[in-house]
Amino acid sequence: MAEDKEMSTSVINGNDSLTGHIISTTIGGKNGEPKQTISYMAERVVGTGSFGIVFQAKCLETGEAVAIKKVLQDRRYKNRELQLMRVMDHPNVVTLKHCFFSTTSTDELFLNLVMEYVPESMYRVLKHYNNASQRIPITYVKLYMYQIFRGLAYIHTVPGVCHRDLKPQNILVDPLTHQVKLCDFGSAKMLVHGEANISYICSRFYRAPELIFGATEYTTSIDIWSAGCVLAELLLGQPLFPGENAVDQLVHIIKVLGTPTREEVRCMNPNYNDFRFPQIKAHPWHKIFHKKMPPEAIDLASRLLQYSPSLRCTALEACAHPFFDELREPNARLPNGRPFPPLFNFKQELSGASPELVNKLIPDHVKRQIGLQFVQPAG
Amino acid sequence: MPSFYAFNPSVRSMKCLFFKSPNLTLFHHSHSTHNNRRLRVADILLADEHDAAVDSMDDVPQPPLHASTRSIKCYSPRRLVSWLLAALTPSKQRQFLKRRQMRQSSSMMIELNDGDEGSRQLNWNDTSFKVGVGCGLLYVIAATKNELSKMVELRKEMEINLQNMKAELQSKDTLLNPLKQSDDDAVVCSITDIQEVSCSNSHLSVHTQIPYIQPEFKSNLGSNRYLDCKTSEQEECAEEINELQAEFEYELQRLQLYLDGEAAFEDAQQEMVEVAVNNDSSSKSQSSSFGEIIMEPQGASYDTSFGVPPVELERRLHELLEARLQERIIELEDALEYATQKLNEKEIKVTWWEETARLTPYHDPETCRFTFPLDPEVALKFSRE
Repeated sequence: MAEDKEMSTSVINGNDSLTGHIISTTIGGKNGEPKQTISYMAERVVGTGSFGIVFQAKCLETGEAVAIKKVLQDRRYKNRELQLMRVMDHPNVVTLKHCFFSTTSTDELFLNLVMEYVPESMYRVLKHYNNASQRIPITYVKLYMYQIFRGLAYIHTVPGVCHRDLKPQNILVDPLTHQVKLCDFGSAKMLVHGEANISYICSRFYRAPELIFGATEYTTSIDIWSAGCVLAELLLGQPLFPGENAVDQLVHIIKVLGTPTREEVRCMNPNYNDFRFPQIKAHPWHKIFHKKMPPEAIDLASRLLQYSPSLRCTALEACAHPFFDELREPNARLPNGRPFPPLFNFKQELSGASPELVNKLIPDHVKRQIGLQFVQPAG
Repeated sequence: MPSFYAFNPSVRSMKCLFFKSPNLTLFHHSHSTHNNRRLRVADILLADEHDAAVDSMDDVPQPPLHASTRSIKCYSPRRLVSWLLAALTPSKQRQFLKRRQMRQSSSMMIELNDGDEGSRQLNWNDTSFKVGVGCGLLYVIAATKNELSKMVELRKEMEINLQNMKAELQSKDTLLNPLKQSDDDAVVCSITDIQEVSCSNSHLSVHTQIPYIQPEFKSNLGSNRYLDCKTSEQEECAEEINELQAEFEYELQRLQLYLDGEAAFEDAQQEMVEVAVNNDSSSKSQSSSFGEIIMEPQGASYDTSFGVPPVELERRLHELLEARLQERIIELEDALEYATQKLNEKEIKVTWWEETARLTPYHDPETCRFTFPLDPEVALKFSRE
């Protein structure tokens, strides 16, 4: 990773008017590698936030489009996002290509994360269909959700990271290949069992109830809840729990799931154990979605959106759900006739899974293709 | 550290203890004079034991023995050692030991009265007593040494704690101008900090809060040596604390954003007119991805644990319940209204038929023919008009 100073053609003033700047940085030069200069032409700002900005840029040497996330770097400590991004390697997680530091005239140090550029996000896909007053075709819902769970299964099991801010805006979609990639690991963290974490993470509509209850010892199952909310949103065309504030968010959840039982409240946050909330009846899942909704979709949603974090299925279990069986068909293809993006090239994320689960996850035609004999589950 | 013994009052008291023990041997010799009536430790112990023996009269049914013991005034050295040991043993055992000693010593007294054998035993006992006392001494010395090393360790720990606290304060100061200071600066700062602490060692006021530590001892240790061995540790520590501090700051920043977001939302709710303007401006600065108008991570700002206030939730749920019940009431009322309307229609029909049936016998067939084809619906209309 290069740590060269930014040599922009003009002085950068703030976050605006980045367009047209050329940023040059050198990589290599260590261990006898030849030094190589890489220049990026900043094109447009694609996102701004408390973290800094994200802009689209073009690598002048290769012509490849990249997204550069520029964040203010505190010199005293390492950037957690960078640490996590460096260890990530999965087709459904955005790849870090390279990173460099830059300084401005005000002597502020910025960290630039150069990532692969994916033109669309799930948020924009949803908006597109909403504007056309259409629902996302169910095949795409399956394809997108499957890849989200595959990405989650990887980050949860291999580096042991919880994303903590899963929402349509952080799910990138390639409009041509329909490959999905999780991005923005700015809130992500390796959760250590028994260690407390902040509960004020995750965007409101997608926050797991235990976070709203202020739990600090949560698990990666908060991402599963968020994924459940995304699934419901893809099916409904609008957020399932559009709360206006934290309490309202919980009221929306209770309207659907009913008042949590004492046991469920205890699972989420034991501090709320003493409170007796009025009993609200759960709204049946099949009444939430339209009549033609496949029952597998409803079943999956109900397995993801559980009050008790331990009762929510894992990302890998979700991948094996019958809702995604269509994707495992031998001749399954995109509606335009093109093949699906790679869906079954699992690696370490299967190491902890049961043979039965592995058997379900890898369809027979793929097994034959890769010539691997999987252990048949006993019985 | 020889001076340590000299200056530590607790050590001094320990020493007194040691010097007392050899006195006991002298004191034992004086016993042989038989008529020394000075009050001695042994007397007190004896009196004490006597009381105990009276308490346990059932176990030792030999009251005359006490008299003989006192008159002889000869104390078995073994007994003295046992007293010494008894002082170290827990009270339960002590009681038991005392009783056992009572039996042994009393039997020994009898032997002593018997003549030469007894005196030989006394000599033997004398040497064993010395050995016992010696052992006891060694034991006590060892124990004291342990205590001393523990105290030294404790002092070191205290010093480190103080240093850490100082470093923490220092790093808080550095937070004010963090970007201008490199890691090297931070290390330099912590070194100067150590020097400050070492200098303040001579100030008694700083250390009066720490018990068991003698100021003299401190000055003996010397600030230079201390500085040398602690610098690297301090560096690490400062770095770690800096890191923690930075992380904390970051979390605080997040929290602030979070609360701001929540506040913006509440404002938007209060003033419906400003919703559009407010949301646009706030989300532009706070949204966390790709220029969309998105919800910021939101949390409840009212509770210290950042969970929702249960009372508020309860209120909302009651409202929801009420709304649902209200809905149901309206639903039922509508159904009731519909049913009554239907009933009314039916009643009207019934009355019409009744009327017709009643009038039929008085009419001639012509009129009957005229009335019958009339549709009940039409008739209903007529009746309404």
